[in-house]
Amino acid sequence: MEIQPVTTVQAVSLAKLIRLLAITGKKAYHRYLYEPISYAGWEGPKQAWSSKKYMEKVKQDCQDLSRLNSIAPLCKRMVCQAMTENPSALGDSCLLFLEVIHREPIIAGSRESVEFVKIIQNPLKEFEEIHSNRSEKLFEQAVTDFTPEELVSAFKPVKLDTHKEKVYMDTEVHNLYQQVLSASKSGNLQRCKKLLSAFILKYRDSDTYSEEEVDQLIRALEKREAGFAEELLGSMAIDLYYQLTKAILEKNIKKSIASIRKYAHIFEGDPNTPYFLEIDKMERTLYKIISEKGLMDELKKSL
Amino acid sequence: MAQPILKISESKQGNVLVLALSGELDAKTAPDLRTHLDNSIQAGAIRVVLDCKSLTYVASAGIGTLNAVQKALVQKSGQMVLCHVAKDIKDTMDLMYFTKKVKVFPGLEEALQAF
Repeated sequence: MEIQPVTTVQAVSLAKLIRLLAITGKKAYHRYLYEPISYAGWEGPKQAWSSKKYMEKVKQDCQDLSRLNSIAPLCKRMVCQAMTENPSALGDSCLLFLEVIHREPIIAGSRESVEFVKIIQNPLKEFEEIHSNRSEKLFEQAVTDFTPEELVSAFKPVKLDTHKEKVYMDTEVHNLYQQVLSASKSGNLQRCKKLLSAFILKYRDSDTYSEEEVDQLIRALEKREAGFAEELLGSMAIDLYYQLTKAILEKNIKKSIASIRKYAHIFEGDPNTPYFLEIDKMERTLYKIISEKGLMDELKKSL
Repeated sequence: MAQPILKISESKQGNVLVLALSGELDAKTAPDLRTHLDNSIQAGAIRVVLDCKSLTYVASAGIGTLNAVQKALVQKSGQMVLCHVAKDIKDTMDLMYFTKKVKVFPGLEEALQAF
């Protein structure tokens, strides 16, 4: 049977979930990451190298095209070894494995990568579901506990002088263009994706955001690799949802609200975007509490 | 759980398409409105009034949809305007910066005069 390679969106999403798991606590980490890998028999025997050394070797081999085929088996040994060490070694190893899967299509299509994703995918999805319900409750609690002043400050945009802001944005777009050009010349479309994603997530809700220029870059890259735009949007949605849930766990309401707004600006109500309904639920909670506290007029004054 | 409801009633006032919205415009209902508006635009409508008299809630997913439609209309030298927007809904639109991109009128007559 033909092996279906791991997709970029799968790898990015699983990596975000592992990061969330890490800040959730040891018990969840053990249940949703350690146990599934252990039950799948990916544990020990203790290897000659430490997981740290394997990580260095994987990073080194990624620079050498002739060694790409040997990286996935090496990653498997790295994860098996990390299982005999400590939770942090395991997390780092899993994240590196997912990163190289994300970066190199050859690795994404290897037997070890597909098996690895198959092992961790379902437990992490289960965690995601539980976590999502918990996040909604935590979010509601955090917004309820917020003082009116804090809530107003959460909505307050950073105002620069319009001209200065425009000049700054032009410079930033120019830098982005140069960096994307250089990455695409060397065929590194993953880097292009990262650069664009970081830029859009940072500036999309700004008044002076250079929408046309950024869209042009995306269209050009889509011509080089069909599906580029869809993958970029998918990764950004996962990234934003991760930022939002992380902010909720850290009780950082300002960041939570900013993430919701960015999500709305970027995806413009596209129902195919990952986490579309989850974000909508949290937003309803937010507006309900703002309205109950009678804060809307105060918030609008801060705009 | 109750099904999300957004009722869309369509009428024509000269060359202006008037859509009266009733119910909630959120992540669950926004795709229906998007489909409706996309079909209308494809059929040639470029001047649109959204009558929000009976709209009871709007979420960013709904505003995002309206934003995308407004962009498409502007590209065709058209536009979408809103009327009868309740204070709560207008407040949310203000917070999402949507009222910077679309004109809001108190009544339908004023909205029709915008074209």
